Formats: sequence, structure tokens, C-alpha cells
Amino acid sequence: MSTEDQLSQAAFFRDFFLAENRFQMEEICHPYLENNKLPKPTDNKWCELEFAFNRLFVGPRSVIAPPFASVYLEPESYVMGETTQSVRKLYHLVGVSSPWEGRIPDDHISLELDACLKFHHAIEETEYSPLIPVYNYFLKDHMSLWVPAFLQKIEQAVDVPSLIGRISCELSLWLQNECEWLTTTRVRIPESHILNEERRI
Amino acid sequence: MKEDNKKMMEQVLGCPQTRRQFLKGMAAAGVMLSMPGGILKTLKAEDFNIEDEITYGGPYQVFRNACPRNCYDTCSFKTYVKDGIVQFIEGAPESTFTDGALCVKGNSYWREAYSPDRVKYPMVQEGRGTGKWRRVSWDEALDRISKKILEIKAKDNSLLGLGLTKYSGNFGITNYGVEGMMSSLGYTTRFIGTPCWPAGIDAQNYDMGNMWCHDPEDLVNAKYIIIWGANPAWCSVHSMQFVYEAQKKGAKVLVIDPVFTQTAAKADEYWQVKTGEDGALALGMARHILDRGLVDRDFVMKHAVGYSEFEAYLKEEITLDWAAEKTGIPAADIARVAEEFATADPASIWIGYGMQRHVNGGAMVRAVDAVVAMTGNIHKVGGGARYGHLYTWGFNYHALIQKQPEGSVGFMGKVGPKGEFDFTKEKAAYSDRTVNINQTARSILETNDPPVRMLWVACKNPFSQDFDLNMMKKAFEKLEMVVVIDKFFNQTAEQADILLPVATQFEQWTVNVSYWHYWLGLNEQAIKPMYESKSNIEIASALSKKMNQLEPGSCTFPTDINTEEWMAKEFNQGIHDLFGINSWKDLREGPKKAKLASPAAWHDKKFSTPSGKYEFKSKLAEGNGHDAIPKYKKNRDPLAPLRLLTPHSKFSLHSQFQQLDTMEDFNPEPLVYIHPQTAQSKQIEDGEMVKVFNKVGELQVKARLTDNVPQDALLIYEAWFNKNDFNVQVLVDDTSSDMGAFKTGAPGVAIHDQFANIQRV
Repeated sequence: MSTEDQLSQAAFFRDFFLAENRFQMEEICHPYLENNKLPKPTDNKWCELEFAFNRLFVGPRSVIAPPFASVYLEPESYVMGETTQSVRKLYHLVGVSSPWEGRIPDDHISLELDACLKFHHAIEETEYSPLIPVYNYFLKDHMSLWVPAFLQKIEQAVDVPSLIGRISCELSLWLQNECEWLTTTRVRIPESHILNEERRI
Repeated sequence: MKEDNKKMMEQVLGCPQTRRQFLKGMAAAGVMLSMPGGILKTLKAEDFNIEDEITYGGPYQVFRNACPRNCYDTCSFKTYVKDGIVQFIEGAPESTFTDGALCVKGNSYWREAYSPDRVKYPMVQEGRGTGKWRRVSWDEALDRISKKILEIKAKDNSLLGLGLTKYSGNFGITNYGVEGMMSSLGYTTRFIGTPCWPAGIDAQNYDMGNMWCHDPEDLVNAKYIIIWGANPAWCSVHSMQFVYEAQKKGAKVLVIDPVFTQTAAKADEYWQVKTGEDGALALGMARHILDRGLVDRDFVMKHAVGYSEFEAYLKEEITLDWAAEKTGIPAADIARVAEEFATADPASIWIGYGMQRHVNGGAMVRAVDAVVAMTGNIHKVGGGARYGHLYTWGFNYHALIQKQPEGSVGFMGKVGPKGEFDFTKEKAAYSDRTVNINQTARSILETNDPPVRMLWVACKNPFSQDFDLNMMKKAFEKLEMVVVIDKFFNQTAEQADILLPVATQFEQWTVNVSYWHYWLGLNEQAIKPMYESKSNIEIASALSKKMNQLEPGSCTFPTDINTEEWMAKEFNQGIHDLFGINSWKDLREGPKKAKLASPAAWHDKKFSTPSGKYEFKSKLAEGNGHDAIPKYKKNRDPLAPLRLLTPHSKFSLHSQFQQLDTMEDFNPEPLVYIHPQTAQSKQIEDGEMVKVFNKVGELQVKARLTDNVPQDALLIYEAWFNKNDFNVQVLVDDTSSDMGAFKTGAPGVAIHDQFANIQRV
């Protein structure tokens, strides 16, 4: 899988999980369906997709698969706890912040995927980057701990349209590929450049 | 290597100093994530320099908040915020009532704000009850709502087809802006009255001219306390400290309740009175007090009217043996306690709201008041017939009082108060059309010309709390549009066309007072509203904007509001003087208590009745179709073999709080509580599924055997369970209680005069 593919896939997943309605969903999924030679769903199917999407991720009923890391990583399933705050710190650490701070938990799947995009892109651009240990941590010690649990909830849910099921499987694969890319294709993780102040200076 | 990296990152994220050091390195390396596009924004260079100030560093910001629930305690609390996130809350230590502690519900408030299950966005349902929800923008939601309102106006030439059902889901004063929003649209149909305490309010108004109670902190001064039909160990936990203190000082505490409650367990003596016979018990006590010559003659002669008629009635109609037979309490016990109460100085009775939710509820409260009055305790420090008060509610009601658009057409007919909190004193050619809140379903079905076409539901969950579920379902079928405003999905939201997300108290400015204690608490906005939630007045303002876009002049609600300013507009000199403050800003230092001339209500023995005295005989009561004096009034005839009691549970307030996972841990499934002997006669075993049924409907539920409930009763806690369609209202009808219409516009409801049968499934 090329870097370009990894990036465009991440952008697709990011946008998909943020879709507000079926029209946005349709627009977001259009290139994906074309590329994968998948049949275009009927209007009715898009409606069903929208209802299922809201049942799974939005509400207003108790959501089946909340798209927030903290729900899976905290002892109790709430947002804005230590996990959310730690993800926010990590964003700040690498120079970015969510425009929705305080309104939408920073550890929403789409925000995390957006961070992945930025990490991946920035690491590609530089030979040696202090971003690597941060991304390594974010990907392997954070996202890999909750995204599979999140995807499992989707998998276990009833009446999940096949497109959501497919996207969920592909996101799982994407995460594995991304971890592999970071481990093998790029540099070894540099030894800490911050704990050893002397070396860095 | 992997572990080292993880450890390092945890250290970086966990320790501000290491993080600062790391950040310097990142900036020096010039590797900030600067990929264009996407969602996450690049922080500006200056943000890095003050990194620890913009994020996670520094001390907590402390905000003042108040619990807005319909609860005696209305606690003030402090909210500790860091990085725009509530970290924890604690009871306000400045309040001698709250005393720095919150109840289990209050302590869970951050969970409400941060539950992944909150209603996050405006949602539209394609077919009520289908679960086919679409997320829409506020603009689209308000556009649909506004167009429907305009359609109704065009069709009916009035907005009486628009109904509002709202009660006490949020008691923050600015939330009366919901009623204000309705007025700003025109004359509408209002579901008025209160399911809570109206019969008792009328009763106390007949007796004393107002509902006014002693400061609960004054319970410590009582030498004898009867807690009658109330369960403060669950429902007013902060009051218990004063009960205990009085006990420690030697006061005796008697609890009278059909159910052996947690409060009963803390008492010195417990009486399991026959449900709905509290009036007979009070009259029996009164007769014995009279017979023993323990009446406070000075009080009843100088400061009361109609005592001689009451005395004559007692002599003619009431005996101890009769009272014993009616109530199931032995005559000797009634006599003993009557003497103890009459000779303790002072002695007090806490009259619970449960006692008046009967067809004879108001009459029973009057009988209990009479016992307190005839023993000379009504006005004494440490005495009192404690029920509730609205003494501290003298706000401006700026959000509530809005003017109808010019040319609005309304209802022409008899008008009365729209609930106990109606401070508008409206006088106009037209008025709103009022219907009984306790008969929501019946009112929707029976109201025509024009019918209620559209219902706005705020601060209320009628499907969970109102009566006769089957009738409610039918009534909703008649409605053309249902708009529900809530924080969480519930059984009413399930029947909505449009569901709008409302802000928690952390996310809005308001001010709160209690109907029990005398503290005033500020509620500051501590965090941004999560997702797209808005406070009720922000919703009103946004709706007005949309209405005026579609039809200029169609709504008078201001379209550009600052919620902090609107909170401030609720204050006036009266409030400042009562609480000894110069400005609402003084409340930032903590809640303030009203400057009371005495902790006792009616301390100067000047009553607000027409006679200015305590009225054992009330012409007002008589004029409103009741007995002039507190006579025995018969309870409702049983409609089925067992009485059905449906109070709310310890961990929820009706359907509020129950949706939180922690609350469901404590109260995971509905149960019907049944006395072991009754269960045996029906061959029901503990844990077995049973059918509870009556003429209203039926439900299936698991049985739990306990002798805490009387043999002739079933008890099912009222609640809404997230993953269970159980609803106790399928068994409860909408029979009215005797009183309530005088002061709240509609009679109360006889929630505890319900009957059912039970059998194994």
C-alpha cells in the first residue's frame, strides 16, 4: 500500500465518521465506491445507512459504538476524561489543536485520523523526525488499544449495512498497515532526544 | 524499545516540565505538523510560548453551580475546571445546609455532561417511534418548527394549537424563558398545574393564607419531630443532619408512612399507617389532645378562627377507636403520641408530598396542620407544619415575561394561575388556553376548536412521568408535530418528531433557589456547551430569529441574547435585600442565605388568610367546594385487590439520572415489591416474573419479597430504564386529588390512590 493510498484512505475514514447526513455520506463515499467498483446504493439504502450510522455513532439513543477513545480506555465509559485530555496534550505537543476543543472530545475517531494524516505526511517529508516517537506512541500505544474495540462493537451490532461493515474492516486493516509502515519502512525509533538533554544540544 | 517509547511519552504527557522541554525540541527541529487542510489547526507560535497557560497547567478555575433538579435540597456546589473540562465538583462549604456534601445524584453531575449518550445534535425522526433518526442543523430544525407554527397560525387564526408541557426538569430561573418563548409567539395552550404538591399548597393556603415553612436548619430546635409521608433519607439527605442533631439533643422522631423507608429506619418510632388514612390519624390525635386538655387555648382563641367549630366536629364525629380502626394504628399508641406531641415544646411535623397525592390529600394536610396549630406549634421556633415555601422566589422573571406579537389572538374565558410559579399576574383581553398538566393525555384528546396540533415538551418527560400510558400514546397520535428538548433520550424523545439537545447546568448561566431551605445559589457557565447543545433561552432566541426571518414580527423574543446578562436581569432590590447582597456577583463568593426575621414561618402569628388568623374554618375552602373545617374525607374506593404505590427510586428523580450507567448498576432492573404473606397467597416467589394488572393496563416485572411494604400494597419504583421498555405509567390513571386548582390552576393527581392485581406469569 502506497503512502498516497494510506493517506487518502485515512482522509476517507476521517470524513466518513464525521458525516452529518446521507447527502454528505454519499458525497464522501462516491470516490470510494468508484475505486472499489462497488454498486451505488439506492436512495433508500442511503437512508438506511444514515439511520444505522446514527444508531451506531451519533444518537439520540445510547450509541452502540461511541467513536471516542476514552469510552474504551477509561475505567468508566465517559468522554473528556484523562484519555481525552492526554490526546489533547499530544496534539498540542506536535503543534496542532482541535477547533472544537471543549465541545467535541479531542479523541473522536475523525480527529485522531486527521492527526494520523498529519503525522504521516510530516514524517514522509523529513528523513529523521522527532515526530516518530510521538506518532509511534499515538498509533501503537493509543489508537491500537481502542480502535479494534470500537470496530468490534460495529461488527457485533445487528442490522449494520454492508458498507459500514466494509469500512470498519478496512479501517482495521489500515491501522495495521500504518503501524507496519511506521515500524518497517521508516527509521528506527530514535533514542529519546528529550530525556537526554545533552545529546540533543 | 517499544516500552521505552511508551514510558517516555507517558512522561512527556504527564509532566509539564518534561513536556515543556520536549516542546522546545520540537519547535527547534521545525517539525510542527503543518500539512494544509484537514481539521486539526496549527497552533500559533505564541501559543507554544504560553503552552502551560493555554493548556493543562495552572490552578483550577472554580465556578459556582447549583443543582437545578426538583429536589428539596437544591444544593450549591463548586465546579473545578481545568482546560475547559470539569475535573470534579464538591458541595459548597459556605452553605450550612449543603455543608460541603452532595448526594449520589449530585456527585454524578460530571457524568451527565460527559456521557457518550447525550443528545448531541438536533435530530429529526422519520416516523415517531421508528428509531429512524436523521441529524439536522439547528437551522433546519428551527425552520421546520417555525413553518409549522406559521401554518397553525394561518389555519386557526391563533396559536392555541401550539401546546407547551413543561415542569421542573430544570428549575434554573432563566429556564422560565420557555414559557416566555411561548408568550413571545402568541397565545398558546398551556398544560398547567403541578403533579407534585398542589393539594398541600391549597390546604396550607386555606389554613394559613400561604405555603410557608420553617427553615429546615431549625429542625435542630424541635423537641419532637413527626416525619409524615416523607422520606428525606432518600429525598433530602442534607435535612437528615438536622433531624439527627435534634435526636442527639433528646428529640423523639416518629415516622409515619405506609412503607418502611430508610427514614423510618432512622426514627425512634415507626407507624405503618393504612395508605390514605393519614387524615383519620391526625383527627384521632386531635380528639385525644382535646380530651386531655392539651390544646393551646391562647393560640386557638386569639390567633385562630373557627376553632370551636373544629372542636365540636371532633367531639361529634371522631373517636380514638374510630381512628385506630381506620388507620391500623392501635388507639393506645395514637393517644400516647398525641400526648407526647402536645406536651413537647416545641414539636414539629414535616408533611411529605406523598401524603397529599390522594383524592383526599388536601383534606389530610389540613388535618395535620390542625394538630400543629391546636398545640400552639405552628409559629414556634422548632415547631411548624413544614411543607414548602416560595418565599425566596421573588425574581424579576425577565425571561418568563414576554409580550405577545401585536394582533395576537388568544383564548377568551376564565383564567387562573398557570402553576405555582406563575408570577406574571397576567391581565389582558386574551389569554392562553389552560389545560390540566396532570391530565396531559386526556387534555390533548378532549381539547378542540382548535385542537392541540403541536406540542413543545421541555424540562419534562411525560411518557415516563405522566399518567395512563396507553391514553398518552393515543393522544400523541392526534398531534401533528412533537418537539422535545432534552439532554438524554427517553420515552418521550422516542415519540418526538424533532429532538433538540439542551445544555446542562455547567453549560449555562442561571440562578437557583429552593422550595425548602433559604439559600440562593449562582449557576455560572463553567464550560462550553458540549456538541451543539443550547440552553432553553438560547433555543428561544434562535427560534425567534428564524420566525422573524420567515415572517417579520411573528415572535417578540429577543434574537440576540447574552445568557449571563439574562441571568443578571433576574435580580432585583428585593432579592438583594432579602439575601444581603449588593449584586449577583457577591454570589461568586458562595451561596447566600435569606436574612430571616426568625427561622419560624408565621413567627409573628400574622397569617395571610382573609381573617389574618389561622383558619380552622376557611370560607375560601368552602367557597371552592371543600369542607370549611378539616374534616375526615374518604379515600378512593379500591378498584383492585391491592394498592399500587409508584414513588421514585433512591437513585433517580423520575427518569432523571437513571440513564447513567452507575445508577443502573445500583438499580439495574425494575421490580415489584410485595409483602411475603401476600406473595405466598398468590404463590409468588422472590425473583419470579409476575404480571401486574388493572383496568388501565398491565406490565410484567420481577417480584421482590419484602416486609417493608404493607400487606395490602404493591410498590414499583417509577423510573426509565435505558435498555428496557418498562413503564409503570401503564398502570396509573389520571384521577385528580381534591385540591390544587385554587393556587396552581389545576388539581393535583392521586398517584397513590391506584390499585392493581398481581399473578404469576
